[in-house]
Amino acid sequence: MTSAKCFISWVRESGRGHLAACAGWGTAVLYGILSLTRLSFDTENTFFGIGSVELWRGCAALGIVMALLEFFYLLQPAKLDFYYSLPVSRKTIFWSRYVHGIIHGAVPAVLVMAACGIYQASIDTSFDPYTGSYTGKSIFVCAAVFFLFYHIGIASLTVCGNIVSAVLAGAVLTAGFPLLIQGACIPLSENYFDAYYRIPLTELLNSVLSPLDLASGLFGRELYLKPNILAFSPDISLILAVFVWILALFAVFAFAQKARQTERVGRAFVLLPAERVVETWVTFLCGILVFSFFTELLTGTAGAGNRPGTAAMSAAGAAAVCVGVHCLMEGILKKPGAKLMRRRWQLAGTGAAAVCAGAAFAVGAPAYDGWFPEDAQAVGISINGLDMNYDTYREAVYGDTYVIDGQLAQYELSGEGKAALLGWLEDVVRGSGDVQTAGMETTGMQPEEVQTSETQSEETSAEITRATVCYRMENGTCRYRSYPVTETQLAAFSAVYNTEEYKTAAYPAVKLSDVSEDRFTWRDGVKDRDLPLNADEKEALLEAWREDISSLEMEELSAVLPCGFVRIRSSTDGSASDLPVYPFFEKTCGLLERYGTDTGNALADYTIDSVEVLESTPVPANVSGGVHLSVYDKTDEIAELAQKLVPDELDIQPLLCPLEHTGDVEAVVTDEETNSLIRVDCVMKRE
Amino acid sequence: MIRISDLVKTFDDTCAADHISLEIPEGILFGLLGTNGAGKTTLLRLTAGILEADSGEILVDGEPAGASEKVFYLPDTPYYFPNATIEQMAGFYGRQYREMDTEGVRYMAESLNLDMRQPIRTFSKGMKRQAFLILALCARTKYLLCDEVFDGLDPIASEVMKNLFRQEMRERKFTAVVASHRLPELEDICDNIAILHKGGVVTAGDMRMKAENIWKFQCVFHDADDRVGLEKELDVVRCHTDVNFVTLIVRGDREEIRTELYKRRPVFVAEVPMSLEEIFIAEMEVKGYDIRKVLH
Repeated sequence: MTSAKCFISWVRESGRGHLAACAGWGTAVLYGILSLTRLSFDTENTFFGIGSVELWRGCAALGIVMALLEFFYLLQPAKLDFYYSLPVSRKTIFWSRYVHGIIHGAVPAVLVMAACGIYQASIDTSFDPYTGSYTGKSIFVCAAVFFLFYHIGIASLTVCGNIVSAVLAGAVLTAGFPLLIQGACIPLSENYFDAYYRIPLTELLNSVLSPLDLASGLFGRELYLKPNILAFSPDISLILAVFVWILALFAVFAFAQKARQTERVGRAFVLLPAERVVETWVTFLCGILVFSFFTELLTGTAGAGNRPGTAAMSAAGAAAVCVGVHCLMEGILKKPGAKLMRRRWQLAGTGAAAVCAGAAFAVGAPAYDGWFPEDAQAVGISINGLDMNYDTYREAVYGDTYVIDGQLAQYELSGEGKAALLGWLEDVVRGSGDVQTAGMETTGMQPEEVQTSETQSEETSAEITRATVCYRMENGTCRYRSYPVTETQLAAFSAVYNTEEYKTAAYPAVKLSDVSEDRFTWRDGVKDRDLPLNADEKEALLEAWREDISSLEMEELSAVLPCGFVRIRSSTDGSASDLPVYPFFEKTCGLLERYGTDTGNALADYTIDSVEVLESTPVPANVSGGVHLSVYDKTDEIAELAQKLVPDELDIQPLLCPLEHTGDVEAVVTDEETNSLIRVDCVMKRE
Repeated sequence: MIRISDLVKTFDDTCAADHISLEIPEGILFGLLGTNGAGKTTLLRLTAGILEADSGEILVDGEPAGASEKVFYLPDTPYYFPNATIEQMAGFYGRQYREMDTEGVRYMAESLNLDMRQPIRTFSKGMKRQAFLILALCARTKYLLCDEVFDGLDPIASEVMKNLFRQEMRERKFTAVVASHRLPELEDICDNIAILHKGGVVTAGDMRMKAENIWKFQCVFHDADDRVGLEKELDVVRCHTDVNFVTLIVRGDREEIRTELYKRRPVFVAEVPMSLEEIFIAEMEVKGYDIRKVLH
């Protein structure tokens, strides 16, 4: 009874309730109507395929719903008896429903997306080149996500005997690995590894082992711009991962549908191996999560000093939770009358695995922190506060990886700079154990507080900032570390800073060429002035700046702020490059003076009408106030303040040349040329 | 023929089929009798291929039990699609069983005043059972497995359904296995009966054949001394005494029993026919099984 004819007739039989067809076609048609309507209004921000958050969530939900509608009979004893008593093999019933679910789940989505692609191509000329590729890729990822969650649903229903356990099994499948990675691996790394910044393998595992992350990754997570979205292709690792997931789950339910015991329907699991696997996995997961939680808690209260004690207490907590969770699950799963500890060896193994996995982070910490690759192909470096403005510095200090990753890419050295950097890093790594962790990351200090402590203390072994490093290895992999940096080590960084390679990375404008048609502007932080230069003068100015940069040394940056910037706006693509100009850039300043620009013009040289200082202090909840605005408009007050104020735009070396950021200061300046007021964000010089 | 050999099926620690060996010949109505939990439903589900045995085998016409057009299983609470009518269910079964007699369903339904186009969910319990028995009989399978098919029905409905069985048996020789926990439901339609107890078969076969050597006599003696030693002389299975009126169920040669009774000069001796119930009592009491559990 497994002939094709019978199979097809059973595919038809599967649709008896029409619920699956309604769900599949209804969702697709609804989505299609909404997409077409939105496209008719806005083709720039509407994406019917890749880039649509609603679509991947819809595909995932549809996959689960279709699995439930098609395979819910596996949890219904009366229906099972009915089907299994018919002269049709179980295989035929199961696989016909599988095919039926695909027909009514994936096919409507494919048709609707094809229709959306054709429609957008007809109304949006910028979409034309992407009509085939974008629509095709969208159909592919949509089908992949649908299949992923369809299979998760089927696997859960096939190994479980009731809806509650099936839902929980689906949740474990979906959230188990992300919980392990985000809830245990990353926190344990952060707490035990002093040099932890990020581990690409962990991130890769999280993106491929978390079905939700995998689905959003396939749909181009974090892409917002139309050109990027239309040209987006999912990473090959994600495509492979989704195939592995789909095939693995397929193998699970293909085996389970044959081996499942009908008489166990109604109990938690119909397959004993599934019961043991889930029990082991959940116990292990709870154990390691508690290990991580205790570590976080104890590190927060006792500090990072007593790591062996923290690890021991966390291990004890994890072991206790393993026993508790195991007994709880046994209490739920075991047959009446069976002993609670009937699987004590399983418990012992699981508990030991959870404890060992957690302890491995503590034990492996010295090896992780002390690892240093002398043969790295390239090294990226980002020192918080160096060559970044104050706002970026704050973001970096508060752990904004976007900022640090941007810097690591910008400051990737592979030549003479790399050799100097590796030499410097070797000293940093060797000395990192002796550094007093007085940094922001560990103490929660504000950047300005760090600077204060720095100036107030003569302790040069205290951490003043952190350096994040990306070692690019010969096999193309990247390894990241974050090291504490002392004042002495920062000073030693000049050996790296003064190399041509580093300066090229720090001042990318040195690579500009043929600027004769570009627009030059002088910016002193208060107002912009066009520089009316001819082509030769522009080239001469850029060359002079290059020479000044070439002779620039890091030590000079700690003494003085830039007096302004020369902004070069490209005549070809409109991009802007800022050339910071310091007072000691003799050649550049000389040329600018010759071209009629006063580089010595400071804020105090402008006519300041008033200065407003907004200070805010924390107040308890439900209490108003805490904000204090002071307006200084008397001549003597303004004169005094003007000597202390610097335009915020010039604060580009907050680590080397720190300024006071205790309040929001705004100077109201009169522009006498245009007889208008300019509001300038300012910071105070330090006393 | 259905041949069950050394069949074992356990649910956790409960043995629902304990080394059952049984042969169900073709063309008869075979009864499976036993209390709740005796293993009747399990045996039927195993035979229908719904469950898989731990060990042993069930051969239906020499082939292992499983999805087969030869077998129709009618559970105690039959499943039907939501809002389905008899007509729709007949259509569905028609696609599964090639021999399905859809016209026969219509004829029987009309004769029992069942509306073919009325949703089955609106039927009473008895009507539902009649409807599914019609569908089961009209599937025209060689083997029909019915679980508690008469349970909870009023006598009229029960008789109607039994008539359906008899009528179909007259028309074609099929084999029906009917499980019940009450003997009266089976005794007037079943040729052979197997008694199940705690997963095992206590006895099986044609009970009347087995009763060939068991006789029932009613005697009246002058006084009590006349019947002294009777139980020693005869293989008495059961003896009921009411003053001088004695009812005996005795195993042995009929003429020898008569001779022995007449030796004691009874006032009256008469042989009375035995009901199936009495045969069961006689058979089961010998084996130590309390048959009264399934009598009423």
